[in-house]
Amino acid sequence: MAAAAAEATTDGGGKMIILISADGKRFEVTEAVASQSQLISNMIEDDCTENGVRLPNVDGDILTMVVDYCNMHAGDAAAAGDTMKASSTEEELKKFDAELVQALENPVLFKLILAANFLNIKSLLDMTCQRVADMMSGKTPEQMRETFSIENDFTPEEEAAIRQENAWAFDD
Amino acid sequence: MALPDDVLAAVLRRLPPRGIAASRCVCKEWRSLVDGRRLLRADLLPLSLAGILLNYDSTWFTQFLSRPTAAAAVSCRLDYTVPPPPAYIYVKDHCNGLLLLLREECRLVVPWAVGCNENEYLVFDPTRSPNYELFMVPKVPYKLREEEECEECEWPPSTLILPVFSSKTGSWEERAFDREGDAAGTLPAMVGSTPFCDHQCGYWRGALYVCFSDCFVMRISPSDNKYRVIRMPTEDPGDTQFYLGKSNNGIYCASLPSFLRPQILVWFLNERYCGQTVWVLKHDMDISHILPNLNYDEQQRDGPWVLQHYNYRPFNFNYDDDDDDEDDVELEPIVEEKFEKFEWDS
Repeated sequence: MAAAAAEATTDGGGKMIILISADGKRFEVTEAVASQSQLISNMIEDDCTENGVRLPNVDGDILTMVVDYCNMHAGDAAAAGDTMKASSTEEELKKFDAELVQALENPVLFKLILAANFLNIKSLLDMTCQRVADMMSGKTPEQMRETFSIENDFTPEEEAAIRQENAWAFDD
Repeated sequence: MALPDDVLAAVLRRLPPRGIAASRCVCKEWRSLVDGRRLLRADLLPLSLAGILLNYDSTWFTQFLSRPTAAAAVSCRLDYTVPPPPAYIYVKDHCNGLLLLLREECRLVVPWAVGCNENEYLVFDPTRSPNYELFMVPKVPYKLREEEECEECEWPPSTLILPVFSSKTGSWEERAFDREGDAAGTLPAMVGSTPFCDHQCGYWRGALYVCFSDCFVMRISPSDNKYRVIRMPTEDPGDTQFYLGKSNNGIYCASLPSFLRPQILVWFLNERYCGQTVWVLKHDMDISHILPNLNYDEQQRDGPWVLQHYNYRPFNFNYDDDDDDEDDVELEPIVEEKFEKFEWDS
């Protein structure tokens, strides 16, 4: 079934489906673009996208980013060798990806991660998780708390003991 | 906003061990997540000293000196790492458990003298990154080329260009390191001053320390592309040979007893002494009273440290399994006997 659907889209521009965000914004995308989301891909297979796909936990501004990302990456998801759509070069994609996540404030980045997780778009989830990991890299526990607005619920003694368990990691 | 556990775990899993250890201290929830999913495998990190790798001039392979251990024994029988025909496999360098091996075909030459003007140094810290780098550091030239006979020529030069291999990119590149402070000397004065078989180094807190025998230590800092020259602990070495290495708290330098001096001296490189780098003498021990008891000719097997496979001959011309078994049978009873007398690893 999935193979048949993919064929249909690559032949003539593809069937369109409507994605509807939590705040009611509507996005019209091809099935090929939308099926980068494993969740939507499964819905397409089950033939339940006729009346649009409601995404009650994804806001419009976040869904805009997700759709941009999927449009940009539709090239690599589609069958290799098909040059119908001038697919973006690898370099362009990298640049696009970097720019997409680089400037995001934490709350927006987190929402994008949650959307990628919910929609099950592996490459977007990987990229956004990596971005968060990069932000944490080389940071002390205090700096991590600050970055992610997390409250320290250890007593000073508890924290000292936990550090002691891995003293090698705190020798700088 | 909190991320679901699965997603948070996916993020933390991307951190190097040092980062995961830090995240474990952030809050109780994160600690439970790290522990519950076993994200931090400190047991896999080279955090303790398993032993010492030794290259003797007189043997054709690297030896491993260690305490008898209850854990899996480490062996320097590394011939299995290369396809036949059999070859001498030396540990050319190592850093935090990663070995740089040199394969030497059956040639009767001292391997360390095999014509090269550079030494290779591994840089690897798995608590920070799974990637390693390999630095090619020039030796002090053995003789001057004609065009170099200029007295003003400093060594090492103010900008040192080193070939560096990165496992991240999988390629070599030339990297320039600017010198901070003075050079070690001028080229004509230094030529031929370091012996051939000289490979002493330490990697500590992101910096590589390379010992140029009795001359100086070069501290290479890859993070800011700088390097500097650190003088040896004593300026008048006499017939002293210095040994450089890394231990628990940093970089140490030792000198063994010589004809002129019966002491073992050990210095610690203190880099936090009022912004300066100073050698601090840690041990000054006269060991002349035990020296006569050291038997250099016989294999010493009754200490708390033992050589693994001390009698292993990689290039036996009857190179087959039977021969290997013989070696093992010969070795095992002796070692087991000694186990009883000494504490097991602590």
